[in-house]
Amino acid sequence: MDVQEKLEILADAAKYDVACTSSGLQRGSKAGYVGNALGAGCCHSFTPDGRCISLLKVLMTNVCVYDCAYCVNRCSNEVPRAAFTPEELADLTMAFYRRNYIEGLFLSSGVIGSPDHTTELMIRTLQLLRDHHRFRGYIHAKAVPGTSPELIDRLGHLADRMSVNLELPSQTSLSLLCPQKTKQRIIAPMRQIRDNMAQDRESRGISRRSATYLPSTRPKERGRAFAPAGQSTQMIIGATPETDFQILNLSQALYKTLQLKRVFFSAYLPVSSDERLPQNVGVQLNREHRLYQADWLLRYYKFDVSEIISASAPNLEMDVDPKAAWAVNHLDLFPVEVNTAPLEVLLRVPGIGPRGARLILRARRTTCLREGELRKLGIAFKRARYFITCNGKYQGNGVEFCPDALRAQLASPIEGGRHGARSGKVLPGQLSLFGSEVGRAAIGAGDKATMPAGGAIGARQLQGPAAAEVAAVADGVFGWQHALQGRQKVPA
Amino acid sequence: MSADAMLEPLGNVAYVHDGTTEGLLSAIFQAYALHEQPEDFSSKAGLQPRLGQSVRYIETDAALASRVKAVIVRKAGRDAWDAVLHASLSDDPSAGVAVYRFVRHVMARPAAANAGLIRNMAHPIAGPVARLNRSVMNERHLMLQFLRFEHFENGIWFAKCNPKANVVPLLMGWFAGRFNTERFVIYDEVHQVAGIYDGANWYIAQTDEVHLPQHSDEEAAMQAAWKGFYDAMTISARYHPELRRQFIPKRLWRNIAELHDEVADGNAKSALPAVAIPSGRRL
Repeated sequence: MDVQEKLEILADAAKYDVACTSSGLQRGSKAGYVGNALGAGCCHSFTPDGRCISLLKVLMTNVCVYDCAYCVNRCSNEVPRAAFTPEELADLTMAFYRRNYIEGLFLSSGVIGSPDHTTELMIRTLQLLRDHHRFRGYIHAKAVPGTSPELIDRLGHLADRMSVNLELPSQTSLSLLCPQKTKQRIIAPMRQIRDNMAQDRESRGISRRSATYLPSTRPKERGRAFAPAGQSTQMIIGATPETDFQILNLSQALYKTLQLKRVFFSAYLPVSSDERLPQNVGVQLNREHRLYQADWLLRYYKFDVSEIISASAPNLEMDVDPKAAWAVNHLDLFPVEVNTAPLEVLLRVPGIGPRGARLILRARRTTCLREGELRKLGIAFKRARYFITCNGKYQGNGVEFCPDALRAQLASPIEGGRHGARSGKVLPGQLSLFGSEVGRAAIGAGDKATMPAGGAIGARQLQGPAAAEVAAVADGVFGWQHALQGRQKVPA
Repeated sequence: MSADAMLEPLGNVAYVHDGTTEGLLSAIFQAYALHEQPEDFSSKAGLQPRLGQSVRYIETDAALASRVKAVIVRKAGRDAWDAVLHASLSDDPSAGVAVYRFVRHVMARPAAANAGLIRNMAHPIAGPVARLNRSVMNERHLMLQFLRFEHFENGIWFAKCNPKANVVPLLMGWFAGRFNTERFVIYDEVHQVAGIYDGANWYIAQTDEVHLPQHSDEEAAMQAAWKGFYDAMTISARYHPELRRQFIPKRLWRNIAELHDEVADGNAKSALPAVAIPSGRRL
């Protein structure tokens, strides 16, 4: 089998991994070394489905000992199998990088032999890249659950970003669909990565700090930082019956407890005929889209998850985006005066993003902002106008200031293009997963009996009795947040 | 210049320069020297005089240009100079006038009043320069993303591009750092500008003649492998070509290795012969 065939098999096997970002790390170039990294990341191509290709996203091998129902690489699936040697993969990465096809390498793997053996192969590849090819570009490495901590530590010092897949948004689903994986085995490496990063930051801080007034020399031997671009994770949406409420609460818990950079969502596509999985459902792409919008509100707009979604309406609205939905439900806070409102208030206005808000702050020092000026700044004025006044004048263009009228103005059906699964050929009723008998029959809605146990402990992270109640309901039978908080021993 | 200064200032006049940043700055200098208020600044190629408009051809003078640069830095700061430099590389015919108005505006006020002016997008005079700056830098970013190098048998890496602005000078620093161990050429076929990196320094050359040697042995195989990877990454259930077109403007496709087959006319490049990569071979 030649390298190109291997590449096609192993890229095809990796394509359902979503995290193809090269962001989070700014690294300059250095004479004699190849490559650098851009803080915001750089996409080098886009597939016909509009997803970015930033990194060479491949598996070390698609041979796997696990049999997870949702995965194309499960051992019971009959697909061609292949494995790269570390030399082949390192050479291919450099050849693509020099042609400016990619920003670096995204290395994941099926579990061949044991997790330790798999990770050793990955470490060998990264060592070749970093030491032999003197590669300074971006490397994203997946930590395989069950790997020993020493190997994770070595891998983290070679990679820029590490990730461990949470796989599914609840533990019940996890134990149903991949019985060989347990939540402790997944969370243990995530926790280790967080701790190693903190430790590494601290020791670097100490080495930089000068203790005396004497001129200090920089340490000659400078090791690589541990995962300087942070940690991310991903989960599959729509294969199991979790609500958006549970998913977003889990995301926020991940950001808070494990300090993740990103949580990725991957809409489930039927890749197997396993009876535990829904088969005849449309692709949950629109749901994924809304979840990402909500995720951005958590990370860049200083929203709390309780503002975006509540247990009584556990799924995000499909016809308006989460920020607009929040705004029309809080009309008592609007309209705001753009010429005086502080940054955090401007960030809450639909149509004004972090960039637009900062441009407004800058521009209003010297200019009185009215419609023309706001349009020049490049904010989405046609959305923002219903929520702002300019120099005391309401900009709402004659539309009644009530939730229904504004909702009609702000409705933004997700543009799915004229082709493919999102083009509107699928009727809304067909998209419903939770109405479908397959999903219900497989997972069952009757697990609520076990809820109090997981919920009561999961509530510890949030403050106040109300927050505790929310967390209890959100965590439900699912126990991820509970596991994030607890300090259980990992079964060997 | 003293002879020019004797002349009566022209009323309705367009200044024509050679299209470079130095040319534009020289023209701005001359507008002050001749006490004229030109209504247009354009390159020789883009000249379209208005009715009854006289035209003044300006010699490019690097010394005058650097005096204008120095005054912009002193009066408005380094950010503003960067914005002016980037705006002057734009293909937009109004770029020259936008820069000229901005220079006049900052010259007429004390430096303290100009601090941060260039970041005010809503300003009637600084705004156009800031927007040109942003559009040129966006074009530069597209080139960082979609430039595709090919390897030739003499060891040179070559990339062809067709940007909307003259961004090759802005690309060279980035790629000379990133690929500092290689020698490469970036050629802009629209502006006929070549950026050349020889392993130590980079240069800009204006040329419309490009003679390329044979591709190196592994080039065809690597392009095929990349195309194979690109096709393998596609999830057909999510097919959404409009979204891709939004991210990769179609005007760039003919110079992007994995997409030039999809361009309708398909005459942009002759396909390289298919060669398999031997396993374990050094690339």
